[in-house]
Amino acid sequence: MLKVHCIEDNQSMQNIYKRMMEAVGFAGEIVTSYNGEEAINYYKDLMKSISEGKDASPPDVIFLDLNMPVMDGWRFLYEFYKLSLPESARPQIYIITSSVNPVDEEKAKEYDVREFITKPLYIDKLEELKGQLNGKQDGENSVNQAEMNKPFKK
Amino acid sequence: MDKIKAVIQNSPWVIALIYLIIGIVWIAFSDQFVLTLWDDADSLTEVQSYKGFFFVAASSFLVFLLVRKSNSILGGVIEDLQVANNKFKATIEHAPVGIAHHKPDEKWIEVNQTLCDLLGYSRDELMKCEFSDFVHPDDLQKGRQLDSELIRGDIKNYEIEKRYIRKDGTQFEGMVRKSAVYNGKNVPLYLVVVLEDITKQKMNEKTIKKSLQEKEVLLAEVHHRVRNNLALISAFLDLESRNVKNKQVERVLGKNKVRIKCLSLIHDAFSDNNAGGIYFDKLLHQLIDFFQSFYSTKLPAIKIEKNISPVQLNINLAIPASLLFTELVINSAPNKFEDDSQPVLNVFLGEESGRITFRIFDNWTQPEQSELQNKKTFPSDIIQALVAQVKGKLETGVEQGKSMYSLRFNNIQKKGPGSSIN
Repeated sequence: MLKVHCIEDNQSMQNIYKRMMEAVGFAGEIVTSYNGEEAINYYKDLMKSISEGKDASPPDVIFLDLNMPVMDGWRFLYEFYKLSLPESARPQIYIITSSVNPVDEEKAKEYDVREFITKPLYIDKLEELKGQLNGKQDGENSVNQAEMNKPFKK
Repeated sequence: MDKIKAVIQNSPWVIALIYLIIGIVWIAFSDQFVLTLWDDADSLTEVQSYKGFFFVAASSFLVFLLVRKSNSILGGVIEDLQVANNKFKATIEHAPVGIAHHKPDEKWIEVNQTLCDLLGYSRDELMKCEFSDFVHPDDLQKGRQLDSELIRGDIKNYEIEKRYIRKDGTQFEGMVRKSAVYNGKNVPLYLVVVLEDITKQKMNEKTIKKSLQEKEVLLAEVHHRVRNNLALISAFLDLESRNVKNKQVERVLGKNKVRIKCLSLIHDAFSDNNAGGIYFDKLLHQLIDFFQSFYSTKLPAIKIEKNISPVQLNINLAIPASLLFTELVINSAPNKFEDDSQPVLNVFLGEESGRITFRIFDNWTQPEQSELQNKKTFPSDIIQALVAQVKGKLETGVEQGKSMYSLRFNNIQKKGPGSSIN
C-alpha cells in the first residue's frame, strides 16, 4: 500500500481525497499538510529521523496544491528541491490544482513533477494513478530507477 | 506702455526743433522790431540786454515746465513699476511652492519664504546651505545629472521626485521642477527651481495602491474558492456515484459532474476576462480537452476533429453557449460502442458578420436513438432553455448518416444584467 502526502489548504478537499483513496484502496497511510511550510517541516523532521537511524518511511506520493496560504506549491517545490532528499526517499509528485493556466502547466515541467492534474480529482483518475504506481512498485525496477536518477530540477 | 515709450523717445527732438524755430524767429524779428523803436546806441545796448534777460528767463521757465512734466510722468511710471515689482516679489515670496534661483555652481541667488519654511531653515541659513545639506544622499546624484544637462542646454526643463531632509532631520517627498535662464550668447545665468511637498499625494497614492492590491487579492481568493468549491461538489458526486447501482442514476450523476466542470471552466475564462468579453474559442478548446480526458477512462479515446475560429463573446452569451455545447456532448456521448470503430466527434465554430454558427456531429449516434430528438426528455428542456437564452436557433439534422446539431445565434455585444464589467 502507498503512503500518500496530501498538501492542500482546503480541509473539505483533504477529507474528500481521503474518502476517495479509501474507496479505491489507494493509500495505506495518509499524511496531511495544510500549506507548503508545514510540508517542508514534515520533510525536515523526516530527514532528521532517518539520520538518527529511527524507523521512518518517506511517502511514495505527494498530492500538491498550488494555491495555498503561507507557502504556496511553487515555493514548496523550490524548498523541497533544496532539501535534496536521498533518491530512495523521493516521492512522486502530482500537482492537483484548480488552475487551468497553461503558464502553470509549463512551469510544472521545470520540476520533476509526474503529472499536472486539474481539479477535481476523479476516482477514475485515482485508479489510473494507482495502476501506474503499483506497476512501478512491483518490479519494474529498472524503469523506476531511471526515473529516480533524473535530476530533480530539470 | 508702448505709447509712453514712443513719446519719451520722440519728444526731445520735437521740443528742440520748436525751441530752435522760436529762437531763430525771435532773433530775426525782435532785433528789427527794436530798431524801429530805438536808434541811439546806448538805448539799443540797454534794450538788447533786457531782451537777452527776457529770452533766458522765458527759456528757464520753459525748461522748468518741461522738466516738471517729465518728472511727474517718470514719477508715475516708477511708482507703477514699484507696485508691479512688489506684487511680483510678494507672489514669489508667498507662493504655495518653494521658489529659488541658483547659479550653475549651486550657489543660491535668492530663495522664497515658502522654500525656507519647507526646509525648516531661516533665509540666512538656507542661503549658506549646500544641496547635500537638505537633499537625501541617494537622490543627490540624479538631480545633479539633470542639472548639468540643463546647463549644457540638452534639456529645457525637468521634473523629478526627490526626498528632502528638513533642518530638524525629518524627511518629506518633494517634486522639484527646474529650468535654466541663458544670456544672449546661450551661457546659462541661473537655474529656476520650484519645489513642492508631495508627501500627502504620495501617501494617498500608497493608500489607493494598497486598497487596489487588497481588492485584487480578494478577487483572486474569491475565484480560487469558487473553483475549489465547484471541484468539491464534483468530487462529492464522484464519490456518491460509486455507491449507485442504477445505471440511469449513475449516468445522470456523471452528466452533472461534467456540467459542474464546465461551469468551473467558464468561471476561469471569466476570471481572466478582458474588456472585450470571453474568448469562446479558447474555452471550447479547454472543454474539449476535458471531455477527451473525462471519457478516455471509460471509452475508446474519442477523436475530436476541431475547426474552431476565434470568437469573442459577451459573458451573457458565453455561459449559455458553453453550457449548450456541454449538453450536446454529454447527451450524445455513448455508454459503450458496439463495434471497434474509432469514435469521432466533429466540432465547428465560426463567426460571419456577427452571426455565430456552431455545429457538432459524431459518428456513433443514430438519429433515431438520439435523446435530444425526443423533445419530452429532461436534457431537451435544458437545451431549449439555453437556446432561448442565446436567442438562437438549434437545428437537428443528419450528416453522413449520423445526427448533427447546428446552433446559430447573433453575437450581441449589448450590455445586460450581470455583464456590467463589459
